[in-house]
Amino acid sequence: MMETLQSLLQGFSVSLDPMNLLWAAIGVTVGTAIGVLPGIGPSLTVALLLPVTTALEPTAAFIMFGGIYYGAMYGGSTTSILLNTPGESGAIVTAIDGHAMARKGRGAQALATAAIGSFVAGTIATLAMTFVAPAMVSFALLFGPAEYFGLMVLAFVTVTAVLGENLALGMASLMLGLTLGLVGIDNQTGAARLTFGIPELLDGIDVVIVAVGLFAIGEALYQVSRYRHEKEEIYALKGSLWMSREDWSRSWKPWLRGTAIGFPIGSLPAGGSEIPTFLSYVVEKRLAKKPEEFGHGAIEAVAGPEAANNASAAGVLTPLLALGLPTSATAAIMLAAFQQYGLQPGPLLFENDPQLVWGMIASLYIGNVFLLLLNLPMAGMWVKLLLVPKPWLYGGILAFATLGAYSLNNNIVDLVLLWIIGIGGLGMRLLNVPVAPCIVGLILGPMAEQHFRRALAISQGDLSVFYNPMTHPLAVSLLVIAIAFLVTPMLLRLRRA
Amino acid sequence: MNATARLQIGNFVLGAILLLLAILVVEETFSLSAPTQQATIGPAFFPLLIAVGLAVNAAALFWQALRGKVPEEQWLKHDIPPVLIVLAGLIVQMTLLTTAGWIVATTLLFATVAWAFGSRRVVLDLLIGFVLSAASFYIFNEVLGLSLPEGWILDT
Repeated sequence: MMETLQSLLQGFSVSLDPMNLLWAAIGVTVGTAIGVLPGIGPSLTVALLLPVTTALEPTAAFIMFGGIYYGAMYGGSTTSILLNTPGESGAIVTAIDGHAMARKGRGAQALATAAIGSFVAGTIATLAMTFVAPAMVSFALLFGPAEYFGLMVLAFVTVTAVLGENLALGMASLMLGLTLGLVGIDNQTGAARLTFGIPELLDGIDVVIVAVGLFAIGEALYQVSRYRHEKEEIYALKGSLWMSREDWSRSWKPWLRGTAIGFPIGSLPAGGSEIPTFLSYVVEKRLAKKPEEFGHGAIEAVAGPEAANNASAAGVLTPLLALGLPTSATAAIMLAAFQQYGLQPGPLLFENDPQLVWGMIASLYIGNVFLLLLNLPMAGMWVKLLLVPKPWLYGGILAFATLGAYSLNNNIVDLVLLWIIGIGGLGMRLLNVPVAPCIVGLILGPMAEQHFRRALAISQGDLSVFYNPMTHPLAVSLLVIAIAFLVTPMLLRLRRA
Repeated sequence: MNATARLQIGNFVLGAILLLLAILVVEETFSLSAPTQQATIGPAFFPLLIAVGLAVNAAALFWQALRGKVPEEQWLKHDIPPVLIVLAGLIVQMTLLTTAGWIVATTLLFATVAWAFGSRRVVLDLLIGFVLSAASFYIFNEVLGLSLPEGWILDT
């Protein structure tokens, strides 16, 4: 406890350094600006801005990244409220009543409750992360390769199956990601797998290429196929920009409840922001004095889910930093960013690089304050970004998407991959195949394989490390939970059918 | 053709792609040269595991498609030509990038995408594309130290 506070204080001394403050400020501003653009969710924002950080040393880069991530979350809520185009699944719920409020001329209030709720939730959840992460680290010290393998299988299953609208489609996305993850040199034996003799593929397929291909190119192709059929209406902000007394009294409890729902779920390996936002919506509807307003612009239905969304965003960072386990598309891209610097998040990072970890955590607090200042008085300015006409918006998105992809390794092969994956992204979008499992599978697949093989190397080929509860209780229970998550929905469906 | 039929075909195609990938993975894995350093589990184990997963998944998708059990989402209207224009724009950028340079290639990409999205103000689009790609070229190369290709425009 005291130790944690001390580390946090150290972190603040890092993040209050004027240069680092500047990076945090740039991060939140750019993150908000890009996140506001329709069709760009937090994960794409982080992926597109990856090249920006190549010139920075790691601490500054991750301070900026934290800001970009939080900023993109704020920016994304503006888009879903005013345009009804949620950039990521966590914002879908906000869009329902947020957009209804905008149609009624209460867009400013919706933005305000989203911004203040995000601030409250982000701050409390970052505080929670400050104390949960070190605890998770000390827990993780008990983990060997078999346990990490179990944890990763659990993450695969939960990312894919818990939402479970259609298991086969979610699994297809995961399998595609795992297959892409196979490409490249096997780093235990040096064998080249699935490289088809192309030297550029020896290093594997970068997660940034896949994320940008699926999100940016896939989305642009989808939008261009639809632009003649879709009319978007932006509702201008008018009247008082501030929340009334009634708005406040209807908002503060949902903020806190949303935080309480969002952080724990976000920090579990189940992760994600879909479940907490939906859960928060349901809870608020049940507790509301006027549940009939839900769906027609109830402020609680914006305040709660938006808080839950931001709290889960901080929650997702907990297993990412403490275990190196990404549980959302955005976290997977952040992990890729760590790997670009040769850093592996997890207990060792806390040990070896406390400056970086705690500096980043501390600047999340600061970033939240910046974001409140950026979003409340300047909401009108961000709204202007929504007015960028689609031809220029997508022209710009594709320019930056190709910039990001090309500058990873300065080769054209990455652009060709981007093109192919973009077409795949369009196909997935048309068939409602979720994208997150693919990205998580791509980055976690090779890690899971390594841990699996390391576990068997240690046990000298004895497979019982994965099923003997006496010798490996943790690994076995993680795998059992994973199987339960996978099988239970299937059984329920069979019984219903 | 109604929405369900289209989605059935879509599921079927996705299944076929997964099945092809499974075959490809198996085929490539068996052509791996035997690793010199013998590990407990070699580099072929996981690919084969994933190939099995792909094949099972493909079977599940085929089954869904045949039974017509696809999610009842609306299949919206889609135009194919603009998609092809955007894809062509990307190919133009790829082929010109190293010779003509980032600025020229990306200006053309920008204008092509804008055209695909229905803009007909070609000169204005080219101008905005030029400003955007020149600005990004300057910022990323001069300030952030990336090396986007200069091409013959800046060479001369």
